[in-house]
Amino acid sequence: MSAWALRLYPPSFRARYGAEVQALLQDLGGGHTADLLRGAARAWLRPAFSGSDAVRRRRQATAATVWVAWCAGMLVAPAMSRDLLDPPVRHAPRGLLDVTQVLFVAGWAAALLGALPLVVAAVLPAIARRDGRSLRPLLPAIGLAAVVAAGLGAVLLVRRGHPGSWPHPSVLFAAVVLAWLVSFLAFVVALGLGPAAALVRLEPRTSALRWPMLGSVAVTLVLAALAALCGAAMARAGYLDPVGGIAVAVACGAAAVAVVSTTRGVLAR
Amino acid sequence: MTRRRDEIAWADPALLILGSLAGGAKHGYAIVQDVAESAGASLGPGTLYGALARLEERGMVRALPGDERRRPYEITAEGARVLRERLVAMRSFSARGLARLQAARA
Repeated sequence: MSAWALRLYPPSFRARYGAEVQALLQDLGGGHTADLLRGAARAWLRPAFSGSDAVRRRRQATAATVWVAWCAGMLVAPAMSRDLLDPPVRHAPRGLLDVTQVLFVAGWAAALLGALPLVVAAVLPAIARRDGRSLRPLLPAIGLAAVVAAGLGAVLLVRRGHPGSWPHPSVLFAAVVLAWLVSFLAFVVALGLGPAAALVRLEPRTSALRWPMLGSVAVTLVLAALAALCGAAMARAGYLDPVGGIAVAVACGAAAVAVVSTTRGVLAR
Repeated sequence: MTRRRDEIAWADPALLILGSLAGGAKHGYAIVQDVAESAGASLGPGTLYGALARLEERGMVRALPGDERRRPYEITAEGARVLRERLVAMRSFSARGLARLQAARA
C-alpha cells in the first residue's frame, strides 16, 4: 500500500528521493500510507527542485505539465462547437466560437513547434540508440492513433448507407460511434501522458528545453484564453449542457495548472 | 506529518530536521530516530522527505555522496544560521513564558 502511494509522487520527486523513501519504509515498517498521500499532494502542489540540475528538472517538469494540461484542456474547443453549433442553439455566439477554433489551431502549432527541437535533440538520438525504456511511453499513443483512424473509417463506412438521417437507424452505427469515442478519449489520455513520461525518462539537456519553454508559455496563454472564451460563449448562449460544462471546468483547471507551472519554470534560476 | 502526543504542537518538521542534523550528518532513518529521541515526535516518510526536499532547495541542507538508498544529509551554514535564529527566539519565548507562569503562581 505504501509502495503504491509512493507512485503518486511527481516523477521528479521519485527520481530524486524515491529510493531513499523506499529504504526508509523498509526500516520503519508499514502504516505510513496517509502520510505519503499527504506528502504526494504537497509535492504536486509545491514541487521542490535542488542540486546542480535543478533548473533543467524544473523546466522539464514545466514542459511535461503544460503538455498534459493542453491535451486535457484543448478538447473544450471542439466540445463547445459541438454543443452550440451542432445543431445551432439560439444566441450561439459564432464570433467567439470562431476565435476558439483559431486558438485551438494556434495552440497545437505552438505545442508542436515547441516540441520539435526536443524530438530532434532527444527523441531521434534515443531511436538511434534503441533506448526502449525512454521511448516505450510513446507506444500507446501511436497504437491508439491507428485504432482511432481505423474507427473513423468504420464510422464513415457504416454511415454511408444512411447519410442524411439522425438519429441513425442502425444499432451497428451507434455501437461503432461509441467504440470510436472511447478509443478517441483513450488516445487523448495516452497522447497527454505518454510524451510527458518519455520526456522525464529522456532527461534532455537544459539547452534543448529552451524552445519547449517558449512553447509552454505560448500554449499556456492560448489555453487560458480558450478556457475563458469557451466559458464566455456558454454563458452568452445561456445553454448549459453537462458535457460542455465538464469540458469548460476541465479547461479552466488545466489552464490554472499550466499558468502555475509555466510561471515556476520561467522564474527558475 | 509530525505526530506528538501533546495537544499543542510546537515543532515544525524542518526545524526538527535541522536540529537533528546540527549534531552531525544523518540519513533518513537516523533523522527519524534522533527526532523521536530528542523531541518525542514521529516523522513519517512523506513528511520527512517533503521537508528535506524543501530544505535542500533552499540550501539549508545538502546531500552527501553515499549509498543512493541511504544518502546522508548535512546542515549547511545557511541552515545553521536559520536554526540558531529560531532556537534563540524559542529560548526567549520559553524564558518569558516560564517567568510568567512563575509570577502567576507566586
